[in-house]
Amino acid sequence: MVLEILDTQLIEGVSIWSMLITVILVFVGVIVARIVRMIFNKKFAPDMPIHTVKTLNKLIYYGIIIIFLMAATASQGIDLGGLVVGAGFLGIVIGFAAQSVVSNMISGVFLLIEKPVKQGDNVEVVDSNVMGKLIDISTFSSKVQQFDGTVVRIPNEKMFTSNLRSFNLSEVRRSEVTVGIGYGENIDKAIQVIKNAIEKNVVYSLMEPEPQFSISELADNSVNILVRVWYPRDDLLEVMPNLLKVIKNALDDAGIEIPFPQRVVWEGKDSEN
Amino acid sequence: MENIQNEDYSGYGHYEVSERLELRLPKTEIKIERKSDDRLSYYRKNSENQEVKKSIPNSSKNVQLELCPVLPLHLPAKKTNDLIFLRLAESIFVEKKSTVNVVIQFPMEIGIFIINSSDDSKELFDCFTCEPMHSRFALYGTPEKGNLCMYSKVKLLEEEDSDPYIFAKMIVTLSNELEHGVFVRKLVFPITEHTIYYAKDSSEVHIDDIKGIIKSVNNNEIIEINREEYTKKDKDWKLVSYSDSKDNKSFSMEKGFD
Repeated sequence: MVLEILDTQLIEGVSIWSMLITVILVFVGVIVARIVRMIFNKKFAPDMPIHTVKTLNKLIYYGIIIIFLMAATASQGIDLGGLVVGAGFLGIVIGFAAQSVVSNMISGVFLLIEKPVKQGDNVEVVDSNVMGKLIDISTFSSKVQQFDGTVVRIPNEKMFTSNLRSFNLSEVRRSEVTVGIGYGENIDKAIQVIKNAIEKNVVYSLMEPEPQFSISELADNSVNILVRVWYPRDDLLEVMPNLLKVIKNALDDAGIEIPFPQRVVWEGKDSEN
Repeated sequence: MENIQNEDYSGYGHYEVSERLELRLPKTEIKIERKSDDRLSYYRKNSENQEVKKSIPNSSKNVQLELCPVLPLHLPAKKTNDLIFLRLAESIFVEKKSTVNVVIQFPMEIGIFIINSSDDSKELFDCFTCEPMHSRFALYGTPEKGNLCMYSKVKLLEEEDSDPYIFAKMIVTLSNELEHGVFVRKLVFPITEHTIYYAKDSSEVHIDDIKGIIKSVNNNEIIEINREEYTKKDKDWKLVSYSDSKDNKSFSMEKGFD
C-alpha cells in the first residue's frame, strides 16, 4: 500500500519516492554546505578580508546545495528540462512577475564579482542620495548605514546601475568650506590667519598637502575665500564640524571682518510730499 | 619654540607612588594622589588647559610607574601603519658619489607605563606630547596612491643642541650613488622597528639611526632607507622597543624626496 503510494507518478518520470529521495539528498547537501562553510570560516577566513569571506561563504553554501540538487535529480532520473518545458507558460508568467527579483539577484552577484565597493567601505549612492557605511550586500539588496545611525536598504539593481562614490580608495579625502571677508580686508593676511588657525587647532588636517586657498567669488557683500583641507579618510567628523568655528574665531581674534548681507531701506518721504 | 633645557623638569625613569606624586614636564603637569577609597587618581593638564583624568581602583599597594619617551605613533590617534614623514627645515645637499652625516631632531611622545609588580611587565597607562604641533598627519605621495604618515617639521642639530622631552636625536647618513648632486628635503620611513635610548634621571634621548642610499631605479630617483642601530649608546642607557625581533627590511622612498 505504502509502496504503491510512493510509486505514484506526480508527473511523467517523477514519483513521490524520487521526490522524497531528492529532498533528503538536498537536505544532506544543506548539512554538508554548513559543515564546509564552518570549516572554511575556522581555517581560512581569519586571514582573509571580511568582504571576501562573506562572498566565498555564499558561493560555498549555495554552490554545494546546487551541486547536491543536480546530483539528486539526475540520480532519480528527474528531467528538470521536462519540468521547465511543462511549466513553460507558468514560467513566463512568474518570470514577468519576478523580473525585478531576478534582476536584483543577478545585480547582487555582479556587485560581488566586480567589487566597485566592498562591505565596510564608506560610500555614497549618488542616485539615491544615500551616504554611509556599506554594511551588507545580500541576495536581493544592499544595506547602507548612514552617519545618523539609520540603515537604508537599496535594491541591488539600483545599487549596480547607480553612480557610486567610494571614500575608501584613497587614504585621505578633501573637504572645503567658503568664508567671506570684508572688501576692506587684506586677503593675504586673512589667508595666513586661517592657515595658522587650521594648523594649530584642526589636528586631523594634513600638514602636507597643506590647506589650499583660493578666491571663489567677489560676492555682493564679501570676498569669498574657498578653503580646502585634506584629512585621513575616516575623520570627516573630526574636521568639518570644527573647521568653520576655528576659522571664525581666528578671524575674530585678528580683527578681520566677516560681513553679513545688509539691506538699506529708504523711506519714500519725497514721494508722499 | 621656547627653550626648556634649563628648567627643573622630572627626569625619565621609575617612580613609586604611595600617597602622592607630581611630575613636571614642559607645558604639562601630572598629579597622582591616593584617595580615601584606596584608588589612585591620575590628573594631567597641558598648556591649553586640556585635562585628562584616570583612576587606578583598589590599589592598596604602592604603584610603580615608568616615565619614558615613546615613538610618535599614538597622537592624535593611532592611524598610520608606522610611517613617519620628517620635513627638514633646510634642504640637505648630497654631492654626487658622496656620503654625508647629519644629526636631526626626531619627534617623540612621552608614555607613562604601569609596572606590574608580579612579573615586571609594563602597560601603557597614558601617552602625551609636550608639543602638540608635532602630533600631525601628512600624505607621502599623491592622494590616489599616497601613504598616510605621522608628520613633523624637524631641524638639523649641532653637537650641543637638544630639545629634551620634545625631540630625540637621530643620525642620518645619506649616500648618493647618482652621477649628480641632489637635495633631500624630506625623509619617510617606518619607525616601529626603531629603539629609543634614554638615560635614567636625564632628559637626553636618542633613537636608532637611519642610512639612506640615493639611487636610480627604473629611471626613478629613490632613497632606500635602512635602520641602523645607534652605536654611541652608553651601556647604562635604557631602551624602549616596540618589537623584540628586529626586521631590517629597507624602505624605498619612491615618491620623491624634495
